[in-house]
Amino acid sequence: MLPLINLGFGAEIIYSFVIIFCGLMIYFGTKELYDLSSYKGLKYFRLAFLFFAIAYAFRLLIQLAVASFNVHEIMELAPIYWSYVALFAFMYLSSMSIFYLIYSVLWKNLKNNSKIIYIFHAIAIVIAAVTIAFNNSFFYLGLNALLLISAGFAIYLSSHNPKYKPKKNNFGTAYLFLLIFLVLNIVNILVPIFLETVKLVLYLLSLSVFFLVLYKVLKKSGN
Amino acid sequence: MQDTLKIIRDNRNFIKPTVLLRKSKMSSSRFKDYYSELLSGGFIKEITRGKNERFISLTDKGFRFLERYKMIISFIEEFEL
Repeated sequence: MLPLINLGFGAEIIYSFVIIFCGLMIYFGTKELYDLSSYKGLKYFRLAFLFFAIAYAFRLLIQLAVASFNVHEIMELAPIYWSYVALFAFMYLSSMSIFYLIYSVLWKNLKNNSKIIYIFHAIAIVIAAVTIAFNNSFFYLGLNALLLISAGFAIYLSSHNPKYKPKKNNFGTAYLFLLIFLVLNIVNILVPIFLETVKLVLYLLSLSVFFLVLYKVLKKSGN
Repeated sequence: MQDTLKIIRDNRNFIKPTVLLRKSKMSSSRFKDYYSELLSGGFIKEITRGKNERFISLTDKGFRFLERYKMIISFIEEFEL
């Protein structure tokens, strides 16, 4: 199937820069609130967006490499060692940003939660390692589908906690969209052909969700 | 935390630990933990006057916390953190 609109490399760079900018704005925009409160949920929320931003910097690096060497996907550059490093870093940081976002909502419901974050780091390292080890599109799609299902399930569990008090402006839906777009953006790097036809729609929807989160963060943090 | 800091501020930002304990209506063991938490967090400072007479006063961070308290709570609620 042919793409609806062929996105130029310039558009890819702009997209990455906007996401990096939004991630860093959210991280630094909430610094004062965290410095004053030292609240754990706020710490994990900020780290999620810092990791988003760094992951997207590696994404940009991968796309620059793919464009410079005139290949279709990063694993075609596999004999070059830094392509492994860039892909490993991208997968580790992306997975951690997803885990931090989930954990920022879930941490208060979990008993003995101090060790869980180390487990998340270990899982993220395993995900990054198996991504390098198994150079297979179906494996990548399966892995990301599993990641998305786990993330969705965690958000569902959190919102159906008996202690949870539903609010008028529930942010759970925005989190779910954010997680979906994050996973789809990982798929877009690992198996570019899979989302080629809907790339523009994916980018526009991702940007909308990021702008919504950024707007809410800046409004609520008094910036 | 907010209530304790408010007591100090409303007492012209100068209060004895014993008076703070009484006004905060906490048990002495809980107050002790709480007090060292506020001190190590940099929200309050101790001032010694005269013959080792200790007083407590808010730091700039303590004042900023009180100003931003509502905003912090609203942020945490909004993002379900």
